[in-house]
Amino acid sequence: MRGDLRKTNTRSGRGDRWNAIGFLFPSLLLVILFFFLPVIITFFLSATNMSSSTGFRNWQWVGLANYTKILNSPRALSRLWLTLQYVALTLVFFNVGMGLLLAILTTRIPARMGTLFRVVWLLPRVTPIVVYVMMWIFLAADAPYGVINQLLLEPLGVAPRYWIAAHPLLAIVLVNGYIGASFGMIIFTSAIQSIPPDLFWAAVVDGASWWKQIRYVVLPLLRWPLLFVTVYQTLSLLMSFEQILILTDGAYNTEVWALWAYHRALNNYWGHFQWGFGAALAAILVLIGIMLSALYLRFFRLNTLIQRPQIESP
Amino acid sequence: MRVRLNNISKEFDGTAVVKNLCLSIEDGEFMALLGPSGCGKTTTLLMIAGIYSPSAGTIEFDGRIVNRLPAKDRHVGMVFQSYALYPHMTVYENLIFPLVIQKKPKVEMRREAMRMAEMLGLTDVLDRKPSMLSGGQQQRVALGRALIKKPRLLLFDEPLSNLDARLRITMRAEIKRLQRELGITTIYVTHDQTEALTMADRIAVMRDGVLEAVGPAELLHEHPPTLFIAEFIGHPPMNLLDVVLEDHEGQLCARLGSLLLEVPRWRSPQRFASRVKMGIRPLHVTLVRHGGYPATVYLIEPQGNQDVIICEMEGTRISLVTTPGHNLAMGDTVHIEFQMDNVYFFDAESGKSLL
Amino acid sequence: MERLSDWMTRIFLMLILIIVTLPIVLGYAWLLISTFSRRTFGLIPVNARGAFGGFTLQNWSFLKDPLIWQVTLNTLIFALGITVGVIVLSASAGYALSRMNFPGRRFTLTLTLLLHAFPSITLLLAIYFVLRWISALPVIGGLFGYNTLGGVTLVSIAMQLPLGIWLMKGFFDHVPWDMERAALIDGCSRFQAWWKVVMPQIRPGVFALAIFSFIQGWGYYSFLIPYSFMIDQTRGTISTYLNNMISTTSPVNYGQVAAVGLFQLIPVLLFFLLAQKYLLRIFSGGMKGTA
Repeated sequence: MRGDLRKTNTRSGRGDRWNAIGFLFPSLLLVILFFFLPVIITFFLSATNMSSSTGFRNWQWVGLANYTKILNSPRALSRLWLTLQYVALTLVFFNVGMGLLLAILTTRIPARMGTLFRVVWLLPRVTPIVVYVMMWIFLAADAPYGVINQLLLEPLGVAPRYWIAAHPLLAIVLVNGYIGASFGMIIFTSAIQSIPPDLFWAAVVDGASWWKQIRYVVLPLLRWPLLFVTVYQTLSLLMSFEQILILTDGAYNTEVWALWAYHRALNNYWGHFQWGFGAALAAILVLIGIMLSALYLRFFRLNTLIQRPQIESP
Repeated sequence: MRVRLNNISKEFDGTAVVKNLCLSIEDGEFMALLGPSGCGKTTTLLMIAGIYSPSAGTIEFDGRIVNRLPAKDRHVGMVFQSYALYPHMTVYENLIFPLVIQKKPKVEMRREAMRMAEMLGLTDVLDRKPSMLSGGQQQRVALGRALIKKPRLLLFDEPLSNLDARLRITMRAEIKRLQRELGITTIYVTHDQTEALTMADRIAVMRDGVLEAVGPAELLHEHPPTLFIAEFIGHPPMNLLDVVLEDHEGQLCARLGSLLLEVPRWRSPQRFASRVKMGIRPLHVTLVRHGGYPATVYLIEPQGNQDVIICEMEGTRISLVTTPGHNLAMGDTVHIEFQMDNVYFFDAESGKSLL
Repeated sequence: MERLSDWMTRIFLMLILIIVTLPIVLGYAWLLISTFSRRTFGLIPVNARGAFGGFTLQNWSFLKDPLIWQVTLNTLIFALGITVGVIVLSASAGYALSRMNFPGRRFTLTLTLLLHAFPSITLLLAIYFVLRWISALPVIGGLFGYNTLGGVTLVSIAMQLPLGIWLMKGFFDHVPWDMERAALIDGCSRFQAWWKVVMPQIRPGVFALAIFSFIQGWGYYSFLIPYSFMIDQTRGTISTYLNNMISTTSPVNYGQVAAVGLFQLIPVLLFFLLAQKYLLRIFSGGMKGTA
């Protein structure tokens, strides 16, 4: 009897399997072509000395030589340190900090004003990236053109300068942070708005001040969204480099790890592409990405997201 | 069309929802699947429709096994509890949808839709979206959509439970009339015994995934084969009392607390059971002026043409039906009599009838 | 008393918000002003002698350059291609993941989440090899290989897929099962039920995702991927065109760069303002169940 049940069960799954393959196939194809295959190729390349001087023919296997080269490189340490600073500062002050601040503030002022501010903060995210970075370049430009210089110079008497060159780390943090903050803002806002209002009333009845309401009502309930945004955005910050590429192209010591890999492999001034070495740099990021993703998956309660299909094909 | 369910079972993630169900529905028959919610009746219906496939057993349509036949090829029409109308289409588009899928000629669609609309009184609302219709109208559209493709089998899943009481009675009659006129084999799932009793030729009662009994309404009502059916069918529900059967000088008596009730010979249990429940319908408990047994009025539920009185005696509650206008209040003492010609006995352990 | 302090708090909060928002406002203000000025000192338009004035439409002369219309057309094809691709692919995959039972479903869902957080951008080098390989294929190579608009569109679609599939799955999860069952019983195949009955129910979600994909395709994705995988300027996008203007060594005409920037920004801005209500929802909608 039990054996019987099993048999018919698997038989009933088959129709759905073919249907599902049909529906998934196009996406699967793209994912294989542009995610799986590239990961394999990256690891493969990272074990070779392939470069624009060896060409695609005369390369050799070098084992882990590229990795030891990275480990022994003095630049590796400084770039790692820069990347860590950049990720940590952007994350703390903008993607999480500013996001949280905006969420709390925009839910505390009249709703229309709140929406207005949120829309303004989403603008950098939807603005074409080159246009957005360009705006920063001219905000920070040297006197007499730069907006910051003009606003600081006259009223405050600060000496004019080209601000990006003067504070490059601050510049890349700001440029990324003003895009990144809106992600946290949206997620925290919807989390705050879904807090039952009676919790606030209870706090008000208890005589809690505005600050205490935030501290004891809002923040504890935001624990999971906070964790999620932190993990997710760490990953995004580690991997993305387009803004820095346009802003400084790595000048003034702003070449973060991902940009380093990009420069070495695909785009540099000398036209000498070190595919093998660049791939090793990328492979390290891929490994970090996989580890962080595994961590990130733990924050999803996957089972609550999967409902059992209520149609079976015979 | 004849439908046969041969020993079908269905489990979801290891939990059995329908267990070894065997049932035949004759051509043109109106069969009700009756049972409390969660008893597996809707799952059974969806297996017949081809939405779920059975974990074991076979489903036959006119002798042909259809387990592997997709829903679209089964020639069934179905009306859902939620009506499941397509909100992005007008009533007309909803009605002709099955014909559109079959790529029928435009003229035929128009003709069939008009015929359906006329039959169901929908001619004036054909251009509206379902959200602009009343519940009753939505119900008719759903019915029309199920009927327009001339199905060989009609399935209903609690179709009336979202309607108000008045409309429910009208629709009940209408569905039954239509079914009789068209002669389509029909399976009707409901948890409402009144619907089952008034509409169906036969009723299949399900409980916890198991078929308890099948039979015509009167048979199940007059000769309930199990305790569950006795309790489930009939309104107000049958009184079920814990009794002890005793022999007093050749006369079988049922002892209820300190009372001794004489059981007529032709109502005597045929088999022995260690614990016995005696069933008696409220209609067969009567108020008497003299004699009988004293009881205290616990609650009075006026129902218009009759009153249901619940009274307490010997530590149990007994309901009875009486005509209105007896001037009773809660706490009053009344005298009641049991019409012992109409009692039932059940084995309290197995639930089986002892008659 | 309490009223007053409440009022003060609000003013204070608004003040903080205004200060932190200032850079964004200043940036867009500068963009708008310099577009119509010969030069600007900060936010003040100036003429050749450095005095207030110098308003001009000169900066928009790039509109006479046929190349800008070529790259605009490219960008439009690129963004529309991404939009259609993302919608069609994530709608079909999202449907399968939401509503079908098949072995490996759980694994595929987990994978989608993993990809969502995956460093696709760091794989550009390897993607270069994949595109090279596609180029070598007959017919397909000419359409989707290296240095083709088709190729960079495919790569960009792939990068948006994880998010798209995840959002679509969420939309499908909310369509009543009875409606789809009714469609199957009415004679639909699973494909017909998806296309004729289920898809129309999630139209608002599709609409939001389409607008989001278009905005992303027009702006974000139109830079790095085309920049990395396209050689000919005539095949580039407005973003790469603009980047060329900024990064050339010759002195940059700020006003003209700003004008091209505004030119690229306008459609996005219109779209965004039209649909911001939906978009705010889509961002938070994809988050369901992560708490």
